[in-house]
Amino acid sequence: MIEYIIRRIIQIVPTLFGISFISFSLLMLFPGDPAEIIITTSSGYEPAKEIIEEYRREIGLDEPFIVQYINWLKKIISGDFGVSWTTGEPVLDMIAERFPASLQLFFATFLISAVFSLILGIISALYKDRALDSIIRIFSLLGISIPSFWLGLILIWIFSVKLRILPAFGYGNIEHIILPVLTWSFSFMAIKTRFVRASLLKELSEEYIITARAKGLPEKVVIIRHALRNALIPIITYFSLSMGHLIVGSIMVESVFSWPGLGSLLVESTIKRDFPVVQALILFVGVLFVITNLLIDILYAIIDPRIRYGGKNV
Amino acid sequence: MSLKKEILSIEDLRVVFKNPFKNVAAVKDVDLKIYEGEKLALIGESGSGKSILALSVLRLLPKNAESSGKIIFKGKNLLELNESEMREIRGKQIALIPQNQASLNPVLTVGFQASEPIFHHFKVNKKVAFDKILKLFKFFKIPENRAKEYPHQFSGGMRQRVLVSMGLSTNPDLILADEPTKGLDFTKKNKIIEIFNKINKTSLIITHDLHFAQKISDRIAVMYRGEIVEISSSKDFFCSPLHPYSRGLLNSLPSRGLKPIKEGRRKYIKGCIFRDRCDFSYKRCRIKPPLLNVNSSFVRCWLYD
Amino acid sequence: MFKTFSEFSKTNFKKIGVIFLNKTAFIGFIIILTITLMGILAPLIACDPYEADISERLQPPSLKHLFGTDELGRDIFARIAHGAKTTLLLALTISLLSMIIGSIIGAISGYYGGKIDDLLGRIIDTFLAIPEFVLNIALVGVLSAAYSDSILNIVVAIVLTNWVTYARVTRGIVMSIKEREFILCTKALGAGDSWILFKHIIPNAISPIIVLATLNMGSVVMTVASLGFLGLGIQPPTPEWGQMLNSGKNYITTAPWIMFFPGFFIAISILGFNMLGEGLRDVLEKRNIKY
Repeated sequence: MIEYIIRRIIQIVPTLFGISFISFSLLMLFPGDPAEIIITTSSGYEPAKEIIEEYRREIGLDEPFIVQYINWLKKIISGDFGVSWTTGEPVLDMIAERFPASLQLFFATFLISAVFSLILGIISALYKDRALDSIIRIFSLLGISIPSFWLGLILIWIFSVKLRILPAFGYGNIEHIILPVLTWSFSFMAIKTRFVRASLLKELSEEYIITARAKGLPEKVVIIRHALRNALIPIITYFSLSMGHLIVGSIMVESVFSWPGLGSLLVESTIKRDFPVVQALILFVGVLFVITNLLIDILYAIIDPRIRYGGKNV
Repeated sequence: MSLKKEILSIEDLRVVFKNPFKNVAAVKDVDLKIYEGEKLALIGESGSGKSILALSVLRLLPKNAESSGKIIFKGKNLLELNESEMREIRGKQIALIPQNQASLNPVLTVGFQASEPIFHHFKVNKKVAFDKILKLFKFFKIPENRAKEYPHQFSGGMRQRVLVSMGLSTNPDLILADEPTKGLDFTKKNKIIEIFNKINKTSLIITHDLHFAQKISDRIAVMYRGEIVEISSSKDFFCSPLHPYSRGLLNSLPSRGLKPIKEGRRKYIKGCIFRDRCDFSYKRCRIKPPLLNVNSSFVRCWLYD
Repeated sequence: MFKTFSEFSKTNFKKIGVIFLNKTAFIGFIIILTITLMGILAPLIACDPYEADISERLQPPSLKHLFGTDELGRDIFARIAHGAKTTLLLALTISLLSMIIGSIIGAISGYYGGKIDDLLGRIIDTFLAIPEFVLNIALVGVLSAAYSDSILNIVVAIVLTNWVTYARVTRGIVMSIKEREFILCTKALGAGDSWILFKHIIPNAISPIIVLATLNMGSVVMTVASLGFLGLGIQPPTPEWGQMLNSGKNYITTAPWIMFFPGFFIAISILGFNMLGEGLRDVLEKRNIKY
């Protein structure tokens, strides 16, 4: 068991390096001079050439790429993500400040869409190729095709402009979160409903389903007792994997509703060309994803011995 | 053939799989009767349609399969029953013993799965059903303490015994066993033979294993490319097979010289389906022969007309 | 699986005709066709998308302006029709470039294996860990600081992340074909790499890649529109749906049609690609139910 966990941890090391490398080299592509920008923002005036040159040496910008990368990595590991080019504030503080809003939005959406997609997916599989299934499938197809930013605006137009019952933006009260969650849930639910349906149908084509039907069990029992139990393993994996990516919030939903989360932080920083923040956010999402992934794997190994021995592919 | 009561009578059964590009008839013109108390072995190579025949009796084929003809069980045509009437028959009156590869649900305990037909059909609680299945497990030498284990912890032979207990648990009138010896080695096969000889039930046993068929069956039906080509008593079949295909099958056994059957064109042909591989084929074989009565056997070959 | 190209083409061209039998694929095809025609015929069916007439600003839909006018008095229908060209050309260019780059890298890596394949495996893992759209935003941000050509910036930013999908799929296909018996046989008979590539790998890989590319066109349309909506995409005055939606959101109370029509066309074209892709997948990759 411990051996398995250690093996998995060793496996993620190259990915972590990859993420840090991508995040670092992004700044290297930037045509401007970071030293100049940092001094200008922190002092408020155009610095002299010599001062910039000196500062470049001080922060190591004259070193070769690899040396800079290693220095940067050392700083990151010790928890120093640098400062914002626009405000001079430590990047880590900015992320910490915005994270709770993203988390709220994510968990509300996740809960709602997980529950509904399970129900809809099961109904869809139960009534495969019948009217109810077609309706759910059309609904899911719309969910993955309609851009959330347009849906968000439509909802604002209906509920804030016409009906005047919900605020279009803002953060803090329960009514503020309703429209963003509704918008995001629609696409989130669509993807998950399709996954639930597909996993159930895959299980329904397995041989043990014929055994169950041959016992004379009604279709509902066959699906819920036999197929769903097996489908639940990939479904839970899929649901939890989505956490890793979306815990930072939906960029588009956040920017439609001016939700003060990490998604809108990313967009604002990109527009202001505040690259240390962008860089840190990429690193943050990537690492979060890898860690969630690792935790899920370990959890499964504890729950289900078959996975540890490679008995069942998940 | 003595006058015995027939339990299942299949008349003129045809199963067609509808596909977007072409329709495939997997079972054609099958007439078969199963009499009370007998064990009928349905033999044939893989892909000959024998498993499909069994599943069509239970009406468990996928939706794109269309069955026509009659399947009369206790006076009722199964092809005309509705789903809920069919469910009363499945597992209670006709039980399936499926192939043992992946036929057990990997996430439910074997004891629970085997006892499921009992508590479902007899409306007893799960505990009573479980105790009942433990008795059957004991009869088939499955240790009681392993009933709460999962299928992946069982060996192939043990799993087959679980499936047999599951099939017998409701004391059905007819058993359909699908390849009970598939994937088992010689010693395990002998144990399954022992078990099937212990079962005193009307059964249709599907197998491609001639040795197994000889040991357990009273009668043999031979299936070739969706059609039944010969029905004989087990004794007659192994002494004097009638259809050229049956003879070929027996001659290909190791004990009889391992002589393979001639290769054929393997395309759809009119007339006798075995014509392209048959050493005796002549002009008349271009017309499809009917199932002819020869002594107490039936054979689909013009040689016996 | 097909053994030779002629066998493949016989079966597949028969199947491609079946687009017209598959309802989903057919509807998707019609949607895409309509929008493509709209883009091509834009100069004929619509007026000048750049012509601003302040006296006509914020007009609701009417016979004169089918979809109304925007805050500068430009005709929204004209901008949408010309925007169709922008969007579809971008989606096609990006998907094709990603397909070429990704499939070649994936095929080489899957075919030769070894160290190259290990490296690609790591790269794919890394790209899986960072959401594509986050990288797209960051890349567009960096590129736009250096180069002013917003169209080129977007193509580069999306292709840089998008090729990975194709590489992953092609690699998987090539690896599975490579191990098949008939390939091992032809190799044993002395067939060269290029023979195997053209005779076996390409014919087998082509239909999953067509399906992938169709679905991918949909997601590229979504990415381009999203970037446009965030103000990071194609810069005005070039008409682009996402950017139109972005400027329309400020007039949501007084002129909701400005945001309604561009969004509707984004949604409908993504829907079209998704339906076509899924329908094609049903037709091209359906396995026969076996018993």
